[in-house]
Formats: sequence, C-alpha cells, structure tokens
Amino acid sequence: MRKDLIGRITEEEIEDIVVNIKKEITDPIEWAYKHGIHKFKVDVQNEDGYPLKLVGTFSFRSGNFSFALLLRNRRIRGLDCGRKVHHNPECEKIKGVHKHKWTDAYQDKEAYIPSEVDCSSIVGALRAFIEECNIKLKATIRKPLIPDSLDKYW
Amino acid sequence: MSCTQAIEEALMNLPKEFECEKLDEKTWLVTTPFEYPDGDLIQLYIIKMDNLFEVTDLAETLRFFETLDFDLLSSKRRRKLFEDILRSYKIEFFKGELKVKVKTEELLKAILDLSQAIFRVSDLYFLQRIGVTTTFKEEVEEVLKEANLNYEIDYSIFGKSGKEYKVDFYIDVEKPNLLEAISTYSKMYAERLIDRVVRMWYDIKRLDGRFEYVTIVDDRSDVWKKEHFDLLEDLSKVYVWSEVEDYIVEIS
Repeated sequence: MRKDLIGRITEEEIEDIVVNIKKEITDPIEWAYKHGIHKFKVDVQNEDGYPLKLVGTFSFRSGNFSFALLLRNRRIRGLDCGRKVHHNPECEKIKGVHKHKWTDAYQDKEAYIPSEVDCSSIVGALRAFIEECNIKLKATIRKPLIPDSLDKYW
Repeated sequence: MSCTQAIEEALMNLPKEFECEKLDEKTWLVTTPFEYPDGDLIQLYIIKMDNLFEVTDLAETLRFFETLDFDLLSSKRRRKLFEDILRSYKIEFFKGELKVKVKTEELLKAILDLSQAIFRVSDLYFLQRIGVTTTFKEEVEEVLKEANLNYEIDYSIFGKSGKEYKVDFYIDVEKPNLLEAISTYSKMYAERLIDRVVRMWYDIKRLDGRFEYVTIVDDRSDVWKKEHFDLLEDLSKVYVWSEVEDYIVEIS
C-alpha cells in the first residue's frame, strides 16, 4: 500500500477498516510515564496492511484519559474520558465523555456522546474501545503505574 | 476579602465565554472558548498554593499531542517555536505542564495569557506533514467544476429492491449522468468496492433507464483487476482517472 496516499482514504473506506477488516493486537499494552503523562502505543496488525496503531494517554493529575485508533497520523476513532468539553463544527457542545469519529467533512473534529461507556476503570474502558473497533486482543493489558511523587490535585 | 472571594471575583471578570467550576476548596477548573485542533476546548486549572495561585493545564496540552502520536518536541524547529511562544507569554514548562504562578491581582491576566499561549502551541500541530487530504471524489468534482458542468453531489435514488442509494454525482446534461468515483489502495477493499458499485448500478438500472451510468476508477493504484473492469463495463461506462479528459470531452 502506498503510504503517501493514505490521506485520500475516504470515510467509507475507514468505516470498512473499522467494521470489516480483521485486526489484532499481539504486543502487550504497557504504559510508559514521561512529561507528566502515561502513554502506550501498539501496532494493530491487519490483513490488508493498513498502518494502524492504537494509542492511549492518561494524566493522573487531571484524571483525563483518551484512546485513539490511528491510521498513520489520522485519528479514525477516539474516546475521551474525563472533564473535557468538546465543541462540534455544527456548534453543539459536549461536556465530559465523548467519542471522535473520522468524517470526510470534518476529519476528527466531529464528536458524539456514546450511549454506553464506563470510564470508571481505565482498563475496562480500553477493553471496550478495542472491542468496539473490532480488534482482537491477543495480549495483556497493564494498568498505568502511578509514581509516588505524583499528587492528584483534586 | 477571603481567598475564595478574591479568586471568584477574578473569575467573574473573565469574558462570558469562559466557564468556571469549583472542584474543591483550593482548585478551580476554567473552560476557555479556545479550541485544540480537534475541537476540544482548552481547560485550565487554578490551584491555590500558600500566597500564590498556580494556573496550569496539568499537561493536557502535551497529552493532546501524544494522543495523536505527534511528538511536539522532537523537531528542533517546532521546539524553538514552542519555546518562543512560552517566552512571549512568560509561561513555564515543567514536567509536561504549561503553567504560571501569580498573585491574586495577576490571576485574570495569567488565565488569558496561558489560554492564548496554549492555543498558539496547539496550532503547531498543523506544522506536521499530513500529506494529501483531498479525497478522490473531491478531485473528480474539481474536474466537473472546471468543465463548467451543472452537477449535484450525493444524489439520492432508489433501486428496484427498494434500497436507497447515494450516487456521488448527478450531472445535468442532455441525458443525465449518474457518476460514481471509486478509489482505494487496498486490494481487499477494492473487491468490496466493486461488489457495492456493481450491485448499486444493477439495482438502479433495472428500475430507471433515464440515465447514463458512469464509473470513474482511480488508476493511480494497482489494485484493480481486469475482471473488475469487465463487471463495471457491463453496467456502466468506465473511465480511468488518467484519461478523465475523454469523459469530459464526451459529455461537454
């Protein structure tokens, strides 16, 4: 696949990647801590050779965390948990948990309120996100380790 | 005046587009009207510390970049721009946080300065090479525009099965054209795309013969097989992108 042309992929093909393409994660999901943020990044193997990866970030201090399914550098699906507020291109404001979905018109700026997302457990929310992206998980997930020196502000 | 009164007075003087929420006795969350490139609003935390206030993003700006796997500080050019922005607003970068410590009377200015600094920092996201972002359909539309053709995008039409289809373009010429533009760089998706388009043309055509049916195939990728063209040609006129001028000449 010509990676330089990934940018031409349409919303319709992206939907196909999420729904129909067989995908799996075989590398363990382990969080690293740097610059005040916990982060993991794993490749998502797939039969069609799309450059897919799953990224997760977590800030213990703000309590916010996010997951993103990236097609090279485009977020084709995303989940934000925490106190964040989102402003949609059509002006609607979403407070708290929301999901991002790639559209041809607005790229990843379009978000919506998911019907059932439990953000009370980061690992639970991650498992649900992986399942929703139709990715088979063949690896372990670790919880982010919180350094002793970190204080939560509230 | 108590500390809480002092801070709440400062927050009340913010423009009405800023929203404030008290999280506990020493912490306030300010949601600004400024947006990160993905539409999430920039938020600041105000934390009471002895005689000062700390206004911080709690590393949320850096987390925005990291979620998109964009390493803000890996390029010398971006790092310099980042540092220039922080310098001009007197903002500190410490353990991933963008923050400033101020006295009560400086709180309002600190909130406005940090909001603007983060807004400018987040714009550095656009410096990455995102590559081509125009879809094939948009490229085809450009050609139709240049040829001064009247067209409609995402034309709704029913097939004999009762299913409703959205065809990429309806072109208003003597015998109206329905045009579908197809493109992919995946061999497997090409199969599904052909199945979909063949089914669509078949279903529409057996109900409605008013149109000329046209498929334009993006031949810049080598995913297409001869059998794909055979299937499409039975139901539509097929043009490849590299020879799209032939189609324009035919309908103009």
